[in-house]
Amino acid sequence: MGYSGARGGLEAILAAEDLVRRKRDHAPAPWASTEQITARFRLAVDRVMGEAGLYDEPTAAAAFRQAEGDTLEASHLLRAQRSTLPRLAVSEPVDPDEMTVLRRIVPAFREPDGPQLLGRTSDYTGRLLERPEGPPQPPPETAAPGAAAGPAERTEAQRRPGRFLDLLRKNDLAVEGRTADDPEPYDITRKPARPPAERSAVLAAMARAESGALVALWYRSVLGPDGDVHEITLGELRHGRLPLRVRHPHTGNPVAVGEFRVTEAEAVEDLDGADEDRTRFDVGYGLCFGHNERKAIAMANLDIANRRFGRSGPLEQLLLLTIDGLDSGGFLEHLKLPHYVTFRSMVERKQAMRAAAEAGEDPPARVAEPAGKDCR
Amino acid sequence: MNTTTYDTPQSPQASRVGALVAAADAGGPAAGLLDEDAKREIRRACLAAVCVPGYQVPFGSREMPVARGWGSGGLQVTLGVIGTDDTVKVIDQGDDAGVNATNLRRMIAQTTGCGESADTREATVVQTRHRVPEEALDDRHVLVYQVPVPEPLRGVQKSVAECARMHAEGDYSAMWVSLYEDIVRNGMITASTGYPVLVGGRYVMATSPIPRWDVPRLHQAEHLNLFGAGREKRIYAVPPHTEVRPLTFDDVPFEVEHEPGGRCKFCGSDDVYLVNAGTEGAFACSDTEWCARVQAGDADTAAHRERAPLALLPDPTARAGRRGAPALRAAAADDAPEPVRRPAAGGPEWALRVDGIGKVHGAGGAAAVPGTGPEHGTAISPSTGAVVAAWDVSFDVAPGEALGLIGESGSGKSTVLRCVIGDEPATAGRVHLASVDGGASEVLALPPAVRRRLRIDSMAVVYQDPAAGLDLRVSAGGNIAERLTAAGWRGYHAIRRRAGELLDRVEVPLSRMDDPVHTFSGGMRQRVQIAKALATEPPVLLLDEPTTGLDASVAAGVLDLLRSLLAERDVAAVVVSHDFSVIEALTDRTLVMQTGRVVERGLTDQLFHDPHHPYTQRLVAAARR
Amino acid sequence: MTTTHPSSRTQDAVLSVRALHKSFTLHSIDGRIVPSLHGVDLDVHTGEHVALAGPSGAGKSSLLRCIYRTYLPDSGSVRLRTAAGPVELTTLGDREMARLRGREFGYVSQFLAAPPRTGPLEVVAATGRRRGLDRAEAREAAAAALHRLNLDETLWDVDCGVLSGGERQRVNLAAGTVEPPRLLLLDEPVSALDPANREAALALIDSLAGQGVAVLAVFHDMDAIRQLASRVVFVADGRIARQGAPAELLEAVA
Repeated sequence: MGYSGARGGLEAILAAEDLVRRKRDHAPAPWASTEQITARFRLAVDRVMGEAGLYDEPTAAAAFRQAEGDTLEASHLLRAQRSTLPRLAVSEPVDPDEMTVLRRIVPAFREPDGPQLLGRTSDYTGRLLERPEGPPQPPPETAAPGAAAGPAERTEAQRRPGRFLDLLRKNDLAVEGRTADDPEPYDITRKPARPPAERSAVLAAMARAESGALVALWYRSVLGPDGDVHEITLGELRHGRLPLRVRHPHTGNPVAVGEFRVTEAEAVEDLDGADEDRTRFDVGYGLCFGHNERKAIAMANLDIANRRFGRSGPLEQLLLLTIDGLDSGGFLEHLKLPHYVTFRSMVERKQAMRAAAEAGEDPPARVAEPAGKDCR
Repeated sequence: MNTTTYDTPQSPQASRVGALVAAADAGGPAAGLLDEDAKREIRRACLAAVCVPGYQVPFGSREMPVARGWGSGGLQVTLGVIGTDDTVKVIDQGDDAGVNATNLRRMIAQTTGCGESADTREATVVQTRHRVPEEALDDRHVLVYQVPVPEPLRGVQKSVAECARMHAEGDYSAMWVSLYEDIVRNGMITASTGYPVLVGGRYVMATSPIPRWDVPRLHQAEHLNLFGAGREKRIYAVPPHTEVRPLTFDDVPFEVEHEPGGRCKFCGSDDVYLVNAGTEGAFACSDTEWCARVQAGDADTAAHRERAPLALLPDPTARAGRRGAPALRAAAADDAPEPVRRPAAGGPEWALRVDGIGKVHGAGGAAAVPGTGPEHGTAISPSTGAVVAAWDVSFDVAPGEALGLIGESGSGKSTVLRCVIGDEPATAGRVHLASVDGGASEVLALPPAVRRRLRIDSMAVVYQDPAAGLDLRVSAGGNIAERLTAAGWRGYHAIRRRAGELLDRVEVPLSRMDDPVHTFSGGMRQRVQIAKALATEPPVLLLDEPTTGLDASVAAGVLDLLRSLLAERDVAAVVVSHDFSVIEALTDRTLVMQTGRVVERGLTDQLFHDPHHPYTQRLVAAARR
Repeated sequence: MTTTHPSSRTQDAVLSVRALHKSFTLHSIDGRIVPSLHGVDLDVHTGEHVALAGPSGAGKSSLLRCIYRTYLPDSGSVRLRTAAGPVELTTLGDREMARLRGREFGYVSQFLAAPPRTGPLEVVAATGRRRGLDRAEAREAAAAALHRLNLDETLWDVDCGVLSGGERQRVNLAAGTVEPPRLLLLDEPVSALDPANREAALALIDSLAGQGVAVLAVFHDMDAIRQLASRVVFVADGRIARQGAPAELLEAVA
């Protein structure tokens, strides 16, 4: 009852809401606290924050719980929550060179400036399913390997290693992509970005993209029929903490108000185009909230691909308009809404065509070549 | 691209921040679904939309508690414009009680404190999905439409950048072609809901999608129509007293939905939008409020009948009669909506003049030129590595004259042509057309939109590859219709007649007129491309290797056609070819190009019989072999 | 009459050639220079029929082509009297030259230069239209010319490419002489014709003088010259060796 427009809509909605709440919140299992979720589902929370474009671990964890683990639904909750809030301030520009690295690898170079720091990763661990009977035993008294020299004892060079890109630049192997002017980055939450768009708009769209959609687009760009896009060499990948500063409303001085974790990737692209500097490399950049290496690497590769081929093909439009999870998911979900008014209109045209054919007005068309139909 | 946007200040005033923080600290009630700054942005976008009816105003669409596609755009507009003294009505498919409508109405009322009503007469803001209420709307009403796809051109153009350009330039010929093709294929326009309209004579707009039945309600309305597309981040409007015309040809009537004998099984109305009800072929009002009020005797059905679009019910006898060869006749002057532009008497002798055209691919511009050219044997700049594709090429062509540009591939001849027509920007040089201000304006300096406009009726090109000049998915007639509709033709029969004449002239059988061009052979495609180029009788015609790539016998036929077409027209033609036989057959005068430069020019037969430059002698010797 | 004709630029000369030089530079053979004309002086008057005679390679055809600008002369002057007054052809702009060619003087070569896949009537009528006739007049005039040259009417709409050499030459001559301009340059116009058709062709050419057309022609056979020419000009080694009335000159040569 109530779906399509007979009476009783509100009761049906309330009943559906109640069913969700009862099954979810009163499931016969212990309640999952926000702390549990941020601690045990760190990567899911990071993903939700990245796709929502809002960095707040407890809020993201609450959304993740409310969405029953659906990361897209959770980022929707987070973004809708964000829409209710005033924008109090705009942060100072963040300098990624200030990052305190938790993990940092440079695949393109054996001995980069600073350490190859594996950090917290399961990249090199066999993917063997563990099914512990109960909670794990407390960790042994002895410190974990590598933790002997705790973070406090890391040197400044270890905490903030030099950048691989700087090494390329020092050897004059990188195209100079930095511009003298320092344009204000494009805020895609306030101004819709469409091709042709600034690089910062495309980067922002990728940073908020649904992770799977971004990876799929990257993979399609490498293997798919569009051509042009190369598999890059990964120059550097980092995960670490950055300080967030805002200007004090009264003193006007920048004040650190917190830290946030990001994943950063730099992609080294081998230039081979006729109009390109074939004696140098160009570099693509990826940065997203939390720990999400797949997303950052795909973003870095697509950044350089977009600057090279975005306008000669569909890539820029794809990046700006098709990878947002709320957009694609929402449009898909809307197919579930009643469409009987539009469908009736379509049926009427089918019947009119049939009536015309039966009246023998014209011979049936020999060819059927859709010249373009709109979505409804 | 001109994107109008609505920013909040980047650095809020300190005092305001303080106040907001204080309010937050005070633990006041939730502000609602949208913060006040966002609502202000939305109101600004709505005002801009009202000022430019039918134009899609970009706005910083926020995420709503409903999915993108479930009315997030309509909801934002409603929240932006509604106040506590307003009364909101929400319908989905014309129904107040549908789940989506119910959900939205609940959220709007709870977070804004406005009133709720299912009675359109009481409502001040009506948010709707897919319908206009049957009840009369007046200047107290704001009708807010939920829009899934705001772009009416999406069906004919997938690139959003190109769609933006088409709107900016009022270049809607692709829309007209799709209507033309629809009639050709189906005998009628089969577009169902979201029917495209021309608003205020300027912007083509998607109608939300409401059924065609409701489209006339937009025209010269008393109420304000606001359209919100949340996912696509666009707001547009049809203000009161605005002209809204469904796109259709002058001689093809716009038709609303109709079921002969159909009436609502509940209230008996037959002058409302009916939807299928039940499996027995019955119908019911889509507007449940109206239906209930008619049953209760609380509806002014006489006035409603006046509003109903009964004059637009389908009339098969008034339709175009899509297929079959058009009756050819001598071209009637009244078919053409505007006279073909011709140079004024006393204007220049030439129709096209090109001075010092140059094109450098790569760095350096003119500085890359030294060290290139025939005497250096290379087009690659020794200083910058840039490719000097053409440099210092000058010529003019008079009406009734054909000029040849000959050279091997890579000599720069096609580059010159592309620079002249505007397919690529020239590095240097000037181009004048007698048809543009009597030759006073420098064409390359004109804005891109104006230059593209020149291609409609001042200058046409025939490419080597028919796919470059045609849409292969579209019928032969439709390709010609594209050029004609761009030039303002709006009569379906007149377009068909003109297209038929042109196809007949280029010896494409009229029985193939309605077939998509991709089903044609290479030679036939080239003939269609030629017919399209001649559709508006442009005073200048550029031919880029028009027979290259065709089988010898087919090429010969196309060549014969071009020769007779040029002979019977007063067109100024430029023919680019590597083939002396083509140049000889078509042109009076010729320029010989080598590595981007003109090395010799003269009468075509003189160049062939008495070539002076070593390169020309080589070309001639090769041609004689 | 063993010296060159004491020519002077008279007012009624349709064509006036002075000190015309032409050579060819063959870049493919190290820039070898092949001389052709070494200073030709010649006048042709209205109604006059001037025949160029001389051995092959003497420069007869080259002279015609230099006048018509199919060859670009090295130096010298070619002046044509037109409706708008005398025009110097050697330095005339290409576009103006192309226009003069249609209206003011014609050139009939040994070979038909008809566009392929076009029929005789169309070819001849096209020339008529270039010379100012409307479509109907041009077809009428073309039909008359083809009749006069005895071209079988069944061939009038047949592709010229499939005609015999003699038929093509008649089409060519018909095209050249339809609505004749004030000067006609003829290069061996009857070389491929059988005796009967040759007579018809010669009669046609002969009638041109009566229409006030000046003719400058290269003929291979002396009979044609005797029959048509009012003056014979002997060309040898790119120069005019001597000229005079056909009777005296041909006998002297004989």
